Amino acid sequence: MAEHFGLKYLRREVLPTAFCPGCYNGILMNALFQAFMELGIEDLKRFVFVSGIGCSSWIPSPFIRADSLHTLHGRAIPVATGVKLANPELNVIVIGGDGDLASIGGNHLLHAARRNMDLLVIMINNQVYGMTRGQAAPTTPHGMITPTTPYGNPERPMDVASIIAGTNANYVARWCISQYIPLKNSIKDALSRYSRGFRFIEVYAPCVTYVVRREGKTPGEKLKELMKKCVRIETWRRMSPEEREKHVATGVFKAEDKPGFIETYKKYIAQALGEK
Amino acid sequence: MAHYKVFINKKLCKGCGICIEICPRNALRFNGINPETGYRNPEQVGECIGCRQCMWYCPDQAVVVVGEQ
Repeated sequence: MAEHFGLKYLRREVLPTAFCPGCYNGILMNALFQAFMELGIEDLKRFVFVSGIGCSSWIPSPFIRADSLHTLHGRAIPVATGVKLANPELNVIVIGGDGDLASIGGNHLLHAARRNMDLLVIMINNQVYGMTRGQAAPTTPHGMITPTTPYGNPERPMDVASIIAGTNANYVARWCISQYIPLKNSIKDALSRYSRGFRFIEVYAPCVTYVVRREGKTPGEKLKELMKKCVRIETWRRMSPEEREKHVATGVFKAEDKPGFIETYKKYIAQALGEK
Repeated sequence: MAHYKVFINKKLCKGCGICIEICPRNALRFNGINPETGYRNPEQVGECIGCRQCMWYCPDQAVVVVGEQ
């Protein structure tokens, strides 16, 4: 019998995954694996995956057949920085959620982006703290009902992709989980065309259990709704402020090819040693 | 006319129903409960046009579409 293309990158002995039925994390895994497949990467020996704590940090740690580090909550990026500096030959990928990378690890994210550290960071924005029963996070939309905001969230969410686009990062993009093909092509670009510097991909994927089911929808219905809700950034900029609130801007926010931290650092080391 | 067939890996499927709702031809449908996992499993009932959306959007890597490109 034929097999799914993703299974060769997964540890079969730990399957099925620990995610809820219909969790969108699995769709990101498919996009990642298809990007690897189209780039001709058969085994992941040159890759190291680093993750923190949270549902989406479970993607690399037990499931992907590659070396992975499951670190402290929010501290995935400092550990990944250390891995990359110790062995610059490795491709280091950080996968984490919004609570891990943007909330508790927000400062590490900002400073790794400022430094233009050679990492690929994939942040899954599920809008809540999914693993601890769906409390409000810094990325929860205004007015959303969660266990910690029973009358609706009074705060407004932060736009992580725009914040990172304001730093020295090389490549910043945001995609919705319903935009499978652009998401896959974006991961491919971040691993091939823009293979140096800080690359950040935010994936907009509402938590299936604490956002989608609370709205009374099935995962499939929500996917179809997201296909209409997520628009390209050029279209989003032409919208009125009321319309902008109802839509999600997706697309490539920034794409440059500046030298990353490793290259700059090596130059300074050579200078300090008196080499030319 | 190309012929495509949809296979479901019953060990991995969790019965979320994304493949059934995403299919543009309504070619899939739930068929009973799998006693091994306790989840409902889909099966192919209609004609598949090979768009592969069910394979891409399956979060559990359980759906495979087989057929000539």
